[in-house]
This record gives sequence, structure tokens and C-alpha cells, in this order.
Amino acid sequence: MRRLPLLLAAFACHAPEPAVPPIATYEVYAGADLVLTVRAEPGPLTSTAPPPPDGHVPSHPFLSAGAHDAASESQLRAILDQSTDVEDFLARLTAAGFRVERLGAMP
Amino acid sequence: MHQDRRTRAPEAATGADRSAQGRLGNAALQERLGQQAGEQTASSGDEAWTRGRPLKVANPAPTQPGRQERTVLGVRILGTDVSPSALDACERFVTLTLGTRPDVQERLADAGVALVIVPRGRPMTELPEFSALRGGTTFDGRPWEQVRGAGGMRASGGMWAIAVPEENLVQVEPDNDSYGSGYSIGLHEFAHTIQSKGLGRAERREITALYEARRAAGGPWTEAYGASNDQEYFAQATNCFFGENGRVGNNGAEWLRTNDRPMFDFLVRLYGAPPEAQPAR
Repeated sequence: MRRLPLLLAAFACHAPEPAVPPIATYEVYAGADLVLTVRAEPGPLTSTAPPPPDGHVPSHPFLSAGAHDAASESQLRAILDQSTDVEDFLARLTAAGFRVERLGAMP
Repeated sequence: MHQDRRTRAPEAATGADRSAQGRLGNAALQERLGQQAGEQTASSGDEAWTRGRPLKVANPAPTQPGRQERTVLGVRILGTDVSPSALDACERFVTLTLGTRPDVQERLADAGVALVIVPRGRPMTELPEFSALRGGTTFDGRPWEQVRGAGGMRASGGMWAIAVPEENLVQVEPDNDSYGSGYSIGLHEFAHTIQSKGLGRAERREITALYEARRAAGGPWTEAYGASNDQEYFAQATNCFFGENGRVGNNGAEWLRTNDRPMFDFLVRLYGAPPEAQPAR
């Protein structure tokens, strides 16, 4: 048991640094119109509508996203509510006719 | 529309003159806006602009029955049964934001961007441009029937329609403006469309990078809402830049210059110098 702290310390010294997961970001288009930007991390959902007067911004458990097109918002939210994770959401968007473009990992 | 855009756009200029000239537009426009708004100016319309006069018109002209329309720097402004002063207020923030950037004007005109004023007391979804929203919800879960304002959607004829509530453009009694004086919904919504339709890919990416850098730095933000994502960051920073973020968050170009210099510099490149920094002409 006395050796355990030494072993742990040795492991810590030689273990690779945990990579910081890049935050994947996606743009979603309906035709030529950008309708949604998605970040693959939990966070707020925002609308093209003005900020809620009460200041309450809902948070989502597996992504954050901001809408760009009022007409698509209801459908996008319905698809999100059916989705189980980010990949599932993006797949459902594609199946519904939206085009999804990955922006690349953000620093 | 292209002919109109050319005649209303500021003439080419360089250096420091460019932002002032673009912001001020032409003298006739200045004079007309000042007169229609029924506001007192110290000695000239130009001075009023230099002081960052609030966008909301305090003493609006009476409601004018029927449809009104004008085109400013390629952006259509539409209103039915509203005060002409509401159109003036829209004209002001269009001129403020687009005056120095013909390329942004061009993209917005090509996208068919129109500001549609929602008459006070009338649900936004009753207007034909926004009737498709009936029965639906915003992405953050609010029924559209209860919302007054939208950052844009495709309407008939290829129009990209932005909803702006009249009661936030002009002071009316009873005051049913949920945001009160000092916060411009129209400017916020128009900023969303500038970002999504007016800027090129490089500048959109730059806003995203600015947002990421701000997150990495831990703020400060104009307020929590402005930290939500790069769209709200940009729109709220725009409101702050023009002193139209009152009662919502930190306000004024000086706050932005002191607390978020990279975004301040970006907005100066986009909009020209802020109103407070404009030298009187």
C-alpha cells in the first residue's frame, strides 16, 4: 500500500495529457438560407425572436444552438426534441432535407 | 432597387471621413428624420447624431392609415397602419449600421431584406409576412403568438422579412413595450440579419472566433444573454455599441471599448466610429 502513491505519481507523470475535446460546430441550411448554428456541448438555445423579457434562456443537455430563420424554428425544435444526441439530431436534420455543414473544430 | 440603392448610398470616401459620411447619410435625410421625429436638436441634425440620440421616437407622428413603404440603402421598410415615425426609426438604424459598407448593403438587397413593422396591439402572426408562424414555437420554446419581433424569415415574393414592433420604435400611450425605452428590438433583430445575410463568410468566421476568445477569457459580457452564442454575442454587442442595450445589460460604446476591445474594433470596422466618438461637424 505504501507504494501506491508512488505508483500513482509515476503514472501521472507518464500518462498522456488528456486531450481537450474540440467543440464541433455545425451550420444548418435550408436551401441557401442559414437556419441554425449548433455547438456540440450543453448550453443555451436561442431564437431569432427578441431576448425573452424575463431573461430566461433554456439550456439543453447535449447541445447549444442558435436559430437564424424564424420560419424553421418550430420544426427544428420538434426535431431536437425527438433526438437522443448530437449525431442523431444532425442525422434527423439531414433526413428532413436540411443541409448540415461542419465548421471544423474550434480552438 | 439597384437604382434606388445607388442613389441612397453614401458617396465614396476614404479614411475618417468615410464613417462619418456613411453614418450621416445626406443632409436632407438628416433634416427630414429630425423633423419627422419631432425632436429638438441643439443646433443641427448632425449634432444630434453625434450624441447617440435614442432610436425610439419620443413624440411620434400620428398613426397613418394604410400601407407605407420606403427603401433605404437597399433595405425595404414596410408598415401598415403605423406611425410614420416608426419608419423613421427603422431608417435611422439601417443608416447607422449599413452606411459605411456598400458590400453589406448589396448582400442584404440581394437577399430581399425587409423590415416589417408590427402595429402596436396587433399580434405579429396576424401579419401576412409572419402568418406561417401561427401555432408554432420559437426554438427556445415560446409560442410565436406571444412574441413581438423576429430576426427574419422567408415571406412571399422572396422577401426576407424581419419583424419589428411599433411600440419599441415609437413612444406611445399606454406604453406596452415589454422592453421599455433604451433597448432596441429592431436593432437587435437587424444585427442578426446583418450577420447571417450581410457579412461574408470570413467576417462571420471572425465573429465566431471573437466569441470563442471571449469565452476562453471568461467574459465580461454585455449580459448573460450575450454569452449564449456568437449570434447573440454579436447582436447584443451591436446594441451596446449604439447605446441601445439599456435595462438589459451593460450599455454604451465606451463600455465595449473598455471591456471587449476586440469586438469593439470589429464593430468600428463594420459600422464606423460609434456615435459618442463622432466629432461634431
